[in-house]
Amino acid sequence: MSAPPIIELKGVVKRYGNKVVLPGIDLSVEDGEFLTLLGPSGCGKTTILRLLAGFEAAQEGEVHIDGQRVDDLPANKRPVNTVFQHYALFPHMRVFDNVAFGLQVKGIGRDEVERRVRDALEMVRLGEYAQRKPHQLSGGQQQRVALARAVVNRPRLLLLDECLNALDYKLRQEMRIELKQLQRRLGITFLFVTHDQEEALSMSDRIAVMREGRIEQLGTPRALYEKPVNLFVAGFVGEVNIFAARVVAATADGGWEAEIAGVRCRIEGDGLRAGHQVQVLLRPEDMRLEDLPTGAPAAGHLVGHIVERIYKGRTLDSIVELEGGQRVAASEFFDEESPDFDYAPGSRVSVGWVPGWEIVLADA
Amino acid sequence: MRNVFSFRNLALTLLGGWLALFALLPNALVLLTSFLRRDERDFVAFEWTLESYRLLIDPVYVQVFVHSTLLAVAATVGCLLIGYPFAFILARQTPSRRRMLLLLIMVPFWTNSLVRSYAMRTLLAAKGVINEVLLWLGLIDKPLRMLYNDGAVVVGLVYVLLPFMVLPLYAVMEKLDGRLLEAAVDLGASRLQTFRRVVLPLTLPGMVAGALLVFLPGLSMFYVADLLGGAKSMLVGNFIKNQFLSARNWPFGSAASAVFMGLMGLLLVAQWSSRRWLGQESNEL
Repeated sequence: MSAPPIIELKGVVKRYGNKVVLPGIDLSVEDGEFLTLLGPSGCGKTTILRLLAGFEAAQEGEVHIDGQRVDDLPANKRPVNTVFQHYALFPHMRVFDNVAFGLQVKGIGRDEVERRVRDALEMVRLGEYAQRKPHQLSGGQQQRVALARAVVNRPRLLLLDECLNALDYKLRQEMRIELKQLQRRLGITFLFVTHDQEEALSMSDRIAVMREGRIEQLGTPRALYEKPVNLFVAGFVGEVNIFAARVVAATADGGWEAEIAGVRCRIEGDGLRAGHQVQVLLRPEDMRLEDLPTGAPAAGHLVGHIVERIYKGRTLDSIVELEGGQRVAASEFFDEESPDFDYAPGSRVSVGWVPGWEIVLADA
Repeated sequence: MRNVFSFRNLALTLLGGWLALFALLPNALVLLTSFLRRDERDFVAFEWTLESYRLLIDPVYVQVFVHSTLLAVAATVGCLLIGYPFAFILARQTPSRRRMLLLLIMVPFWTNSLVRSYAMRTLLAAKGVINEVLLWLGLIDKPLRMLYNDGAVVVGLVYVLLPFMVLPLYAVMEKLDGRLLEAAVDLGASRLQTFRRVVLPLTLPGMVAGALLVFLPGLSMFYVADLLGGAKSMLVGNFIKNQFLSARNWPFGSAASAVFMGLMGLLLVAQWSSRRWLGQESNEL
């Protein structure tokens, strides 16, 4: 690591009365990174944001921003700006004055304020709305004003608090791309908070999955999706099928033979040993179904019947009930070889997966 | 099915009738009277004239207006200086403490303001509570003269009218979004800058409403001036009362009342436009 981290939390503890929100968190964010704090509501992700912005003070530990310890630095002196969940635009000011606010309170000259505000509004494609009041704008436009108001100050760090939640689905998708592009162009570190895993996966360089004030896993979206360290992360980032399995023996090629619902399958994983109870995790899109009207399935395949099929345009999602009663989700792409495959509810299928794509977790 | 005698129609009729009978009609009569001539025997003679309005711009009477306006302005400023911080603190309390503090404001409000003016007299009088305490503490040698001057009138007006300032201010401050203050601080504003650029403009409608509710009675609460101000401190209210009851010049008193109403109208327009300026006529967020 060459450059020092822009954010460093060291053993930060935050309590509200008797309620411990952050039991001691360590986090380090690289300069220029797009890092997302992902977790269910109440997991402490917004508290981290407020600690960095300076709205809350930690009881223990240290908060460093840009190499400077900021625990005693008031919010208005920190090189940090926030895009608030409900934007918090000043209702009595025009868009221009909203964006100019941060520059004006710093006593920057009129001409420069004018120029930088124009640039910022151009950047979010709102140049023509400078004279409007916030309530005259749509939600997406308000969101962009909030963004311009924050980045016009050229902060070292931009905090974004669930700021896409209030937008409708389509707009949210557009804003994701826009935010990511903006972040690349400006080179500002973005710390983004959300409970939407899709949002987190599509924008972030790294994601910290949080639960009850702790970081369960910190990694790239791909690492989180393909190599979750536990069931919580696996379940929170994407959908997952979980099979209980028992490791039986090592195979000659370095894998393991395991028993899932009485069927011998081949799995791969580190640190396994014969007799281990493990969880085998499989993403729906890694499942493979095969029509099997009668007879026994191929080796390593389970048998079930279709209880539900959901046509999603690009994929056909199926729910399969295995013979043991467990339900499994499978998501299959239509491809040129079988553009119109389909299953009738109740039809018997064999259930397998792409070999080697399973995630094996030791039983907790 | 339409029912002419529905509760809604009944209520509206009663309300409309009440307003017409006890608000619109008397005021219309006052306006009418202001354009009539004074009559020694019948109070008014039915003869159209602008004489009363001409008389109003006589320097003697203009001075009464100016003096009364200054007292009302002083009372308004006093109420604002006390009421604003009070409302600000009030809006930031826990709901239970808020209710208690509001109650403290409201209880005197339920007491007749005439009674409260008498109470103020017993506080301020030469042998009143304050002087007695100060004498007993040895802070003064002889009683302070606190009664029967403009100061006493302003104190009395502030005391009587404070709830009218606090309540509208409290209403806007309760609605003041704390996140806006956080946003201002986040953008680098100091406490003072946050107050001046965000809090003050957003609470302006409450200030204007409160100022209206204090300023107008501040011009007209004649009994406060009677009890606390003596003969020298005269409010517009005293002046109007005297014209009706002592001088028996009804048209002149009516003209003064009409001007007073006009002023009220102007202030209401001012308040309305301050709200409009803030764009609060629309339902945002």
